[in-house]
Amino acid sequence: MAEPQDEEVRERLKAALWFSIGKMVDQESLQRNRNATPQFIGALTDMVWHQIENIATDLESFSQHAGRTTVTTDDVLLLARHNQDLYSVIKDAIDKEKAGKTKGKGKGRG
Amino acid sequence: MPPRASAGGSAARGRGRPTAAAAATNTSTTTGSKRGAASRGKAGAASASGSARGGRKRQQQQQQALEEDDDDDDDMPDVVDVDAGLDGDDVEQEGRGVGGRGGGGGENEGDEDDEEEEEERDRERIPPELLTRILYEFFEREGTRITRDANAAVVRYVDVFVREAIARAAVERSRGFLEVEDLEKVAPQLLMDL
Repeated sequence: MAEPQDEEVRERLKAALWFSIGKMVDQESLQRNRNATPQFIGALTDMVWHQIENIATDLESFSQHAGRTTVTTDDVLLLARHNQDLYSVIKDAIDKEKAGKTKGKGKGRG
Repeated sequence: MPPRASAGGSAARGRGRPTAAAAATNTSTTTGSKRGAASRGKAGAASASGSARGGRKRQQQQQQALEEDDDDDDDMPDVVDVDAGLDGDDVEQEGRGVGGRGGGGGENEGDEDDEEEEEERDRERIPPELLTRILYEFFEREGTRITRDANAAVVRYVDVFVREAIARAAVERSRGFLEVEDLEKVAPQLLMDL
C-alpha cells in the first residue's frame, strides 16, 4: 500500500470522526447552554483520535494475551480497569447490548 | 432485500462521488444484530453522511480480509468486519438503517422503550462502523477482529471520554466559549483517569 494513500485514508477517517464529535459537542453545548469554538472541537478530535489509537493497541494486546485474535467485551472491560466509575458504565453498556440481543433473537427477524 | 439495499446504496452515492455501489453497500459491518446499531436514528443519520465517505474509504483500502468469525468466542460470535458482510441480512440492515433515519429514527423492531433506551438513542454517538474502521486502521496484526458487542462498548467508552472532556472543560471556563486552552488544562488528568 502506498504511503500517500494511507495518509489520505487517515485524513478522511479523521474528518469523519471530527464530524461525529462535532455533533456530540453540539448536543452537549445545547444541554449545558454553552458553546465551543471549532478549534476546541478540532483539538478534541485530535485527542480522541490518539486515544482510539491507544485503545486499539491495548485491545489488541489484551486479546493476544488471552490467546485470541478477536477482541471481546472482556478486553474492553480491561481498558476500564483503572477507573471504577468508567468500568461500571462500560459494564452496563455491555449488559444492555446483551439483553437487547436476547430480546431481538426472541422476536425473530422480519 | 435487494430494493432496500440499493436504496441505501444510492443514498450514499447521491451524497458524494460515484463509486461502485454494490461494494459500498456490501462493506457494511456484519451486524447480525436484530436492533442493529445502524437502525438507531441518530446513529443512522451520522453514519449515512459519515459513512458515505466511509464507503469510499473502505473501497480504497481494498482490504480483502473476508473471514468468518473465529469460533474463539462462544458467547459473541458476531464479529465486526470492515469488508465482508455479504450476507443479505446485513445489507438489509444497512438499508433499513438509512430508511430509519428518514422515518424519524424510531426503532424498527419495536423493542421495549425503557427510559434508558430512549436516552441512549437520543445521544449522539460515533457511528459504530466508523469506529470499527478506525480501530482496524490501528490494529497492528493482520488477523485482529472485534466483536460487535465489544465495538459497541468502545463506542460507549469514547462517548464517555468526549462528554467527560466537555464537562471538565466547562468547569474550567464558567461562561463563554470553550476554547482550546480549556481542553489543554483538563487533558492530562483526563487521559490519566480514562
